[in-house]
Amino acid sequence: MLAEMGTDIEATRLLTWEAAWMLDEGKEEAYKHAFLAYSAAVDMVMMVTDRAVQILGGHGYIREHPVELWMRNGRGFAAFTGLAMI
Amino acid sequence: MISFEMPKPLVQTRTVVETVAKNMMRPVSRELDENEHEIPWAYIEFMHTATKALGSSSMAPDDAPEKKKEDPEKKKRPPINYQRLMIMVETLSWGDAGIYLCTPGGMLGAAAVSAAGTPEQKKRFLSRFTGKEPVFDAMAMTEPQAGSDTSAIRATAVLDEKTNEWVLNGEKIFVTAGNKALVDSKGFIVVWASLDLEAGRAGIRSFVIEADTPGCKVTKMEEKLGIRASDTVSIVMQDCRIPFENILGSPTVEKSTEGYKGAMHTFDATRPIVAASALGVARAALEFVQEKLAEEGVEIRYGIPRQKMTHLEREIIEMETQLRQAWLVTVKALWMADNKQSNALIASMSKVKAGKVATVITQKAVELMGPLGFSRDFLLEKWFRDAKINDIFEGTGQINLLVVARNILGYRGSQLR
Repeated sequence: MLAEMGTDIEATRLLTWEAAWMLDEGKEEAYKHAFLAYSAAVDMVMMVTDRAVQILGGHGYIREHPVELWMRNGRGFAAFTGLAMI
Repeated sequence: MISFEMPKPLVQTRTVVETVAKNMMRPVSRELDENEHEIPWAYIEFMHTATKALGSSSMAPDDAPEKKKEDPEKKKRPPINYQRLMIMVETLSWGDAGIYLCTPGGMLGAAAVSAAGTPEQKKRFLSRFTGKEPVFDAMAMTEPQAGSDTSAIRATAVLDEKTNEWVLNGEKIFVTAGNKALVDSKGFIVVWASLDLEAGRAGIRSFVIEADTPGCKVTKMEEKLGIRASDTVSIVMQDCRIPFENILGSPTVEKSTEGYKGAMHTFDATRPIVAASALGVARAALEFVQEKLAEEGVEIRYGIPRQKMTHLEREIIEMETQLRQAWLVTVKALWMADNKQSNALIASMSKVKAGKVATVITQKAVELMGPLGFSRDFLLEKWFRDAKINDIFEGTGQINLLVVARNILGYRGSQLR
């Protein structure tokens, strides 16, 4: 699980950097790539935070531990930033 | 600042290789898939002549022709040899992954010789690739009871002190291009065997067996799901004698596993290259789907909320995202190799990601295209079959996940299995 989390964070980070670079350069396909990066990131954050809760088991589920908070916060990106983007 | 611009020489490489893929691979792709083990000689001869004309003996990055005189005034160019190899492999695999594996010249075997051999060994074994005839090499690691777990290797190498020869015994299976290396050309295979079975990993070394060595026989050619243009064979070594100088690395067994680890570093370069091959197949499939959709006038809307997308839009965007992610991770792994940075973690990540992405994308492509995907009139179903191998050879997806996890946690092999 940890390996998949690490791999997806790395992959999404690169995708985001590339999209940002395209926007800086004023590339034609920047808009599309920005959307791809966004799309990847909202999936990645749920996958990673959900697994973080899972790996920590009961500890991950209680409010004393930050991962359940991160998981709830992570859920926001797909819902509101998405609408703001249009 | 980071730049994602592809260097001009790489763009040129891609254009050239794309022509080869389009004209020499795609037209014979189906035929070679239907007639397993038929050898694509036209492609092989062409590639052999082309690499010879470039002055190199193989596609191996260490082997790129030296520039005659560097202009000291000129800006120093960033190293791109591994990245160039990636572009070549990705584009050739976009053409046909099976035929790509028939590319003559140094491949995995040469990579092992380059990584662990002495200058004399490199000269002795690698010079054959520049000869008149195309020559192949192969790597023999897997055994019936030892797949990705290389420490379970049971093949043995014993030194006969009277004749100063290594005597090899054992069986190797699933050797990619083994028949081309030993039977169809005067090539060589790099075989992994143990000097001391009790020593475990510390006792494992690689040895070069040249074609026509008595006691080394190709015993079986596998019939496969995909990459059928390439041969996959079993090899039996029975009192196979090779000169003492054919060992790669130290002939003595020490307690430490440094030698084994050194050999494992070969994979830091080869795993992202296999990833690149997977990405080529995946891109072929995705482009096919996009072309067909464009023909039908189906438009993919980017930037709308997910709940408003059609199922098709969601699938295509997901495929594009995954492919680009895997591509970028692979580029990073090889960029690090070019810049001599330690890349074990990201090299395995690239293999994990690309192996999975290729399998998923080709599968989805077949599903989305329905009859066009299932029919043998098109190449989509073949790419689906070809893609699967990338999740298996050069370390299965599972093993690479394990390597990634170990690297993240800083655990050794014995601590996380």
